[in-house]
Amino acid sequence: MIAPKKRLEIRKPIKRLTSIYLGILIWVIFFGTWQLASSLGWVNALLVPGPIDVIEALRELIFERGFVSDIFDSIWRVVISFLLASAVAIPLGILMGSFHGLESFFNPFVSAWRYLPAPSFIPVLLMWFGTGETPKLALLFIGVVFFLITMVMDYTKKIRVELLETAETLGANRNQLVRTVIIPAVLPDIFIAMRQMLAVTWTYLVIAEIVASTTGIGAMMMRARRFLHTDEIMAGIMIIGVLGLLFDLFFRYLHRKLFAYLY
Amino acid sequence: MTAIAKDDHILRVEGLQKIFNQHLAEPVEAVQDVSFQVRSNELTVLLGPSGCGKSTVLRVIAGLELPSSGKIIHGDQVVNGPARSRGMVFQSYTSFEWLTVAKNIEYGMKLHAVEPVIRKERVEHYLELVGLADFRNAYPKQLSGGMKQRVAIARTLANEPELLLMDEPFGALDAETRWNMQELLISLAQSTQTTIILVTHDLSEALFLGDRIIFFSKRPATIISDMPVAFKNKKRFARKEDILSEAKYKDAEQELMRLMRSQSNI
Repeated sequence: MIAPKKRLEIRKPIKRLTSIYLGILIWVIFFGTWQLASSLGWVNALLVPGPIDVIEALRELIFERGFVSDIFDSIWRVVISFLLASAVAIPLGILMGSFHGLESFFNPFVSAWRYLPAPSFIPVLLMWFGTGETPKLALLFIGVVFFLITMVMDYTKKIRVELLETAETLGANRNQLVRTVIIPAVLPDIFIAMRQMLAVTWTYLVIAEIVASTTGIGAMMMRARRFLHTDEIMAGIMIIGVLGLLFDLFFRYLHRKLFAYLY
Repeated sequence: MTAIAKDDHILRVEGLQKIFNQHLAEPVEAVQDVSFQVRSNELTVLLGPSGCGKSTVLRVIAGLELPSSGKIIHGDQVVNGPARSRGMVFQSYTSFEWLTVAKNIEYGMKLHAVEPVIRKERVEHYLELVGLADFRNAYPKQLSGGMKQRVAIARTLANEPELLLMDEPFGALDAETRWNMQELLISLAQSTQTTIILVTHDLSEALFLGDRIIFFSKRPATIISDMPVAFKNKKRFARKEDILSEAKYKDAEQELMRLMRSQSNI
């Protein structure tokens, strides 16, 4: 046996299990430090309750105070507004990425709207739509749709021209080109764009619910603030994190299922 | 489209000139004044130094570019855009990665609503011809470069074009695969009787594949020489090594090499 020379560790692959342990370890350190800071009194326990207190608050919220219906309100808002935004952005983005005329017409408008911060519309949305579901859905929609259009357009424009030319020399007409080449070619990338924008939708959700809502995760957090229930606020943050992660995993799973030919 | 009187040429390139207008730069003349005719079943090679404009000639024939002056007449029609009758195989891989090998080959026929029974038959036929029968349900991602080019060729042939246009189709392949694909192309040309125009800058590829070689100058492309590959006596060789034993092969290669050097930009 040759004793291997000690090599530089740069980009050296590690075992999968090691990689998983390392991923868990950082969370253990995070929660451990947090708990220590709280129980050893390094921080004011009223303002920074430890993770155990937060989880206890979460348990109480869920099992004793009907927090589940708030969670479902929030999920519903995200899903509905995101579906609406996708229903507009995906077809429009594909068309803008396919036809220069449509791009020239819509893009100056879409680009400008991307730079208008969606939350700045909250006052007018409240004036126009009152305090029901509509202003919340509208805020999420405005916050996401213009970014999604641009992303879908950019991905559509990145389809290799040889694919389009091949289809043309096989005799495809314009409709067939869009239907049988452009759409299937860009679909996996659209899923990636959706995955990214879904995370943004969650951000706007909390803003919408904090500003103008009596239900939902954000509203619960605002109520808790009034009574200095920091543990409940943190429980809300934790739930949003978990939901975000679950949605992300769901999209990744869907990507692997729908576009298995890429893996 | 204008109707033109027929002769025995399937394709006529007449006084072709192509100028590209560029954004923020002077227009570039890629093709100056090119005329030639192609007969049915002929395998014509367009040869010339890199960047000379030979690919542009092919793209104009395909209808992917329009001539700045002159015209292309295919059959009795002036070419004014891409059409099913002029299939194109590119150097870069163009398999549709969301379709299986069989579905890729079926693609063109489906566009034209060819009957399912006939479609299936032809898919099988071409899978067999290009040696991908065992990979009919594989996705392009799982295939090697050579196999992807086989898919592209089978897909184009299954669509039954009158002209098969190939733009350096084996340029991205390693030497052994390229050699293999060249032999496959010869056998396909024989069995399908398709008229082929192939662009390359590889001299040995030109000599092995071409019934005739058109040699282009450096940019802007003009024709420097247009000759049948004389030493082959109108035969095609099935195996690449057999061509090496031809007495005149070396002379022909030497001649092409001299031409290439005279047009080199380097």
